[in-house]
Amino acid sequence: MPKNVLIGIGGTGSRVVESVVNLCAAGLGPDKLHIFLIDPDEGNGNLTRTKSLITRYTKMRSLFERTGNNPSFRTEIVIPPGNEPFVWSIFEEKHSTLGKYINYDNLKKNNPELANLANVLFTDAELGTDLERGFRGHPSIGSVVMSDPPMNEYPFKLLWDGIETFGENELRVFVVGSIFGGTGAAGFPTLGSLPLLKYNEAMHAKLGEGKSRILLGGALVLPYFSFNADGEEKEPMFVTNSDFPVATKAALQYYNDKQLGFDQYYFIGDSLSQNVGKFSTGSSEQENKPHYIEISSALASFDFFEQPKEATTEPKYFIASRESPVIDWTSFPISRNSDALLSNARQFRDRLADFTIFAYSFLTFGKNILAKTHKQTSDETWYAENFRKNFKEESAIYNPRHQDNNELYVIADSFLSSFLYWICSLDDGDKVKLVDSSKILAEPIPSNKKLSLRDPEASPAFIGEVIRTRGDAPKHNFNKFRTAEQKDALIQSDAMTAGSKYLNIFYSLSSSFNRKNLVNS
Amino acid sequence: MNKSPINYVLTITLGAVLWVIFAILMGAQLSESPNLAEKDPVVLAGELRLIFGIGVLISIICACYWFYYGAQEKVAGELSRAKTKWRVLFLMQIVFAAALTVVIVVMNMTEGIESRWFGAYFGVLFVLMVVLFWLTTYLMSPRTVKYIPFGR
Repeated sequence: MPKNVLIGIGGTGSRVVESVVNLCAAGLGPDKLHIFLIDPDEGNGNLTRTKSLITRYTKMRSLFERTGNNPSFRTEIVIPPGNEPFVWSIFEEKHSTLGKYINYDNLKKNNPELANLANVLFTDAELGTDLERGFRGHPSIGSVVMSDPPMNEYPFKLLWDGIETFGENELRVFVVGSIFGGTGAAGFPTLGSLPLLKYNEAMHAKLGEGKSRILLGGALVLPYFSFNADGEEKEPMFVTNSDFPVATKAALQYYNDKQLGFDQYYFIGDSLSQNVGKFSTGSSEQENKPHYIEISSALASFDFFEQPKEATTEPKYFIASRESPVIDWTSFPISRNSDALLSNARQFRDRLADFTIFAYSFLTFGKNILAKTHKQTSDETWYAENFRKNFKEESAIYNPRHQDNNELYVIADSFLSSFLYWICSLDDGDKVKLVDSSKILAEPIPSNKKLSLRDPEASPAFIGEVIRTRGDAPKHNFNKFRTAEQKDALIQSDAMTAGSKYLNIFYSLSSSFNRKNLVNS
Repeated sequence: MNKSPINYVLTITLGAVLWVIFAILMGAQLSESPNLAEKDPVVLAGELRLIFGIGVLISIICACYWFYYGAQEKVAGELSRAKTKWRVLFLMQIVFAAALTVVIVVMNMTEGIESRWFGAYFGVLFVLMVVLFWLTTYLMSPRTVKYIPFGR
């Protein structure tokens, strides 16, 4: 069975991984996926958010027993075990500079010719700037310091574990990063160089001339967002929106000329150039709003992981573009396989829609019900059908309010809130028409990201309008959600904890509601 | 069984069957067994058929109204109100059963019928109204209000 490895490089890479994790939660990913990140800026807000999300995903997946027809959390996401690093932060010391990395001061004394070469290749600012916050849009620095990653240590060990058991192209490695920034632009061609991954003999990737155990794919994310740079120009070596096209053009020329080990490339970009927030060179302040292009990039990785292991000899080119400035559920490049395009597009919308309604309904109505007593809620049909007959106060199998189920609810609360934050942040109220965040949120998203959700019992009409659709077909309200048929509301399992059952009920009710609500759209 | 029109049809059928059993098949026994001063037992049997019929009709109307009300989607959001409504309808059956028994008593006050027979008439009315309403709503309430009748 092939092994899938996803490597996110830099801020964009970690944001794409965030989308991958959210899509996996919705049930769209491969069966198993190994993930790690590369970023020198360990305090990067985007990175911290993604790291925390993956940790919660794995915990949620381990606690949440799902029914056979619940595709959520289907993907087993594997990260380095225990306290092993999940991020390769490149530098071992804090406050590293390129000068320190190449021992510039020593070179000046002992090998002035090499020091002079370094002076030709790098400016004083590039040699002396603290790289704790990343490469600040200067890939030339990154390509030097990233050329020799520690392959026998985590997180790279995650990639190489069991390499000898794979046949040709059975280890699928997908690298994703931006072409226009610093870390991604540096790391992408570095990891793509022929000897580093694809034909790494020391790690037994190479099988013979022109053959490798690794099928290497990569998504290069072209400029797709803009940001506010108010007052940040004082930072050394800062980048602005206007630097992106020049950096991109140079990088694309490089990829055209240089022979790299990638078997498949995805070039993904967007001309809408949506604003994703305040500029920051790095650190915890670099935390940008999610963007739909990150979903496209995540879908590119899924498309890559679905490829058959037989390598294609003839080059093939696929192009997908949106038809209008409006991004809706049909705008995404779902698959290169034209036969599966329609069904995959439908599945993409349905699963994300189901998970969105699941998250929203559980975080509001679901938690309200749990806050009441068993007796107070036992007239609710879906509840009574599942919990009334065999109710045992002291059993975690039959009592959804049993304290042993609390750990699951806490992690579900946290993960589903993050998911809602992510999907609601995609809604710009103008061009991106996936979900209508105003139907979910009682107030705009505050800076602390603590969402204030509308109560569907108090405003029952809104839930039917959460998923944006093209048509004007009348929408159902929350009472439709509560009155699902028995086949949708009843979860039959004697072994499952009542906590998992409770979550499965909400997923099933959400799915059933969406099938009725979105029937004509 | 809890889908329309099956629940309506079954309720009407069950009401009619119970009325036939108590008012027709057992009607002779209920009207001929008591000692009547002047009234012809045939007349009493006619009165009982009419009163029992009114009782069954009230019960069927109440059950059908409950089915109609419970099938509305909005009720999912007002279950406590629905619970109160069902209890009021249920109490109505008891009150009407008692009231119709009083009507039988008033109509036959001069006949010297033993009180145990009035108890029996109340028992029949209880079955035709209270039990009929409870049984039909217990078995055939729409899904939304399925767990509201007593005993679920």
